[in-house]
Amino acid sequence: MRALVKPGDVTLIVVLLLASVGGMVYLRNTLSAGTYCIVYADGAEVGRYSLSRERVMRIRGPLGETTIAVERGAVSVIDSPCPHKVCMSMGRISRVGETVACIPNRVLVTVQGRREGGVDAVTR
Amino acid sequence: MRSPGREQGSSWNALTVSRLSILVAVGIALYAVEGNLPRPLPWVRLGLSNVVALVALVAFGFGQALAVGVLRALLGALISGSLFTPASVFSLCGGVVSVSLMGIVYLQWGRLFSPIGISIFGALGHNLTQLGLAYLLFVRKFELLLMVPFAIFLSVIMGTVVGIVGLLLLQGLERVGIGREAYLASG
Repeated sequence: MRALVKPGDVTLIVVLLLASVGGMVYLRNTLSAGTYCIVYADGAEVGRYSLSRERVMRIRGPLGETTIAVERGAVSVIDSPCPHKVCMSMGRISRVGETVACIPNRVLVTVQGRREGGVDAVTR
Repeated sequence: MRSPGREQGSSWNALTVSRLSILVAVGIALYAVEGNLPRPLPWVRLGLSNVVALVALVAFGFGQALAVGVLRALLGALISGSLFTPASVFSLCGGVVSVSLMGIVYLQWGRLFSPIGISIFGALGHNLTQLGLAYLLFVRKFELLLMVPFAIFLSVIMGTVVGIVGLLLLQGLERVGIGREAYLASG
């Protein structure tokens, strides 16, 4: 019986799959790392905060204060007055475009990348 | 018995022309069907029509494969209404590079790779050429090059599928006595 698949094929497929998946994971981790987060309360921007500086913020919403923490390059909701605590269970986010929202308390945090410009925080 | 694969390089007689026409027709049909299938992403297509260039290469040689690839791209653009648009230029360039790469791999390292491996090279040539052209001509943005690993990943998947289909087609052709014995006997 002839060999329809040759060793070269298998080698090629394995090498290319590993290289491409490795490349995608590498790029995802390095290039999509966010540099700052934007916090919104009730749809209005509260401020922009660098992810490289640790801080804890309390954001007022209709239900009370939502506590947001920036630590080790990631941001998360660590305390919330909302009933289901979905926002807290969303964990720490650090990549560009990732978002944590507390719908009941109308607080939203999204991570952005680049154009940090050496400013630690801009508050409005 | 006559061996139709052997006259490659000599005159393109009526048999050659009709054989190529059938391959091109099948390629266009596949292209049309594929264009109407739902796609995961708008610019991702399986590239099933490339199977005819693969079959032409292994069964009838490089020159005929190139002819099939170019005609398939041109006529495919004609029926899909994208002739002379950037998309069809991309497709044509991708097709030429793809067939050339498959030809080089097949002629140089034909013992190492079955049509599946050759097809993966073809898909790589196709996708990376188009990505490269898009970068050079349209979006000169660094971000576009970040898609290279993804393009390679897709090429492996698409190339394997196309290669398997091509292998089945070549076996069918061999069964009716068409094509070059060299590959299938060497395996």
